Amino acid sequence: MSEWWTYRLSDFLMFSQRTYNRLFERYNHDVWPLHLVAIAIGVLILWLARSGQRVAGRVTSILLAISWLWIAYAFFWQRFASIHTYAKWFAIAFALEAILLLALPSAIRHPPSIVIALILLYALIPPRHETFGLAPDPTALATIVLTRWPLRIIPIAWCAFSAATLLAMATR
Amino acid sequence: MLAVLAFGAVRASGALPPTGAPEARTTPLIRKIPSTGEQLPVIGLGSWITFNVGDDVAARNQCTEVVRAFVSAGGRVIDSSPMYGSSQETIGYALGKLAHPNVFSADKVWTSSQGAGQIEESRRHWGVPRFDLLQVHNLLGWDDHLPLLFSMKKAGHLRYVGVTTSHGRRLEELEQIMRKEPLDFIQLTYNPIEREPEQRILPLAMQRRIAVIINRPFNQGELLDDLASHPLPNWARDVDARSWAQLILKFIITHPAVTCVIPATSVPSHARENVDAARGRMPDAAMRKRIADTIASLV
Repeated sequence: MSEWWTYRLSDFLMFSQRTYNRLFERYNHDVWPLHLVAIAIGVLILWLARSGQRVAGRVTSILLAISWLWIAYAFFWQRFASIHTYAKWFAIAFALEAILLLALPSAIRHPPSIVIALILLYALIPPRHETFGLAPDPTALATIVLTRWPLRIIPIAWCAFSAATLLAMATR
Repeated sequence: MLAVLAFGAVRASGALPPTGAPEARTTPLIRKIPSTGEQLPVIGLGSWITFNVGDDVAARNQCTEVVRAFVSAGGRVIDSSPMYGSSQETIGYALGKLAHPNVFSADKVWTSSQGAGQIEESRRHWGVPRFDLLQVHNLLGWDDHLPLLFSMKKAGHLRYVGVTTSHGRRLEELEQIMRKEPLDFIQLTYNPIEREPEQRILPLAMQRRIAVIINRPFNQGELLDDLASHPLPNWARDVDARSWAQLILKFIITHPAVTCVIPATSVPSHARENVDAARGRMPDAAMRKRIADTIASLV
């Protein structure tokens, strides 16, 4: 890309805030009541983090991997791809993270419960009501606090992209 | 010098009103495509961001109303790109719902190494038998894509060939291509605060008889956002402009090299307002300077 210094964040924004919000509105409508399952998974991870049981790391990695796979398919592949040219690459990255989670259960850590609880409350933020386990942002945030390197690379990359998208929409 | 000569030639031909005596137009301003003489209304419709609504039926219906308002007000040129997400499909949906009105379909070929395949996919999204105009998007791979587009034109699968850029990028390369290739159209950004094309590109387009489509007339809406807190000057009434958007569009379409400008909107009433900018009195050279100076001082 020549003259790259002349580009701004908004030059890479492909859709309006209204369209982005509608995408989540329709997604939340379509997948309801999976939110209850996702929140239950979040609460289970929270309990596992407090329990200190030997299997906690393995179970947490499996639950997180299921969440990442679901988002790769149901959110990126099926829905986000309709408004973003590179969404299928995001789907592949999320599927890769799921594989890494399954391959590296020892990279799971147990952060303070309050951090996980706050991420579960992310779903209450309007207008998109992004729910852990179903939406990429809270799931990536949870994975950052629940894992060690190298499992944090893809979640941090996604959060950086998402933050740039939200900033571009807010400043448009 | 090219710019001065260009304005002088057009004034002598009567395309612009004499200074101080603007005449009201009851029908929308039209311009000829220099390579064929075909006439086009000067206000078109862009689809970047606004028509990328995915498969959301409610949003697609809203875009259909935008197209309906645009066409019924007298607009014809609709522009899109395979880089605009679902915009092509939204346009196809709207044209289907409106029983395929007589629009001038302008699309682009992008980075794909499979140019012909990408063009065919775009055509299917639009639901048109062929495109009126295909442009090389942002000059990406222009030396690969232009031979394909010229061969399609020669075979009757395409009517016009062009290249695009935006926001003043790669203007030197654009100038070289304009001098070298038999283009029908170029597309670039030009508005009261982005006037660099006046120096070389627009005069060269007139000299080479290349039609000019202007994108990003409002700098992706930022220009209108910046002007929103300022009242429209009283003198805007002298050219029948009822909004900053109309004043900017009138500034753009009265440059003699400009064939068409393609503002994007998701609001039907804005589509009508945009097309109406091509009616009424038009700014003369002094008024164009006043518009540009005023807007530059406010943003």
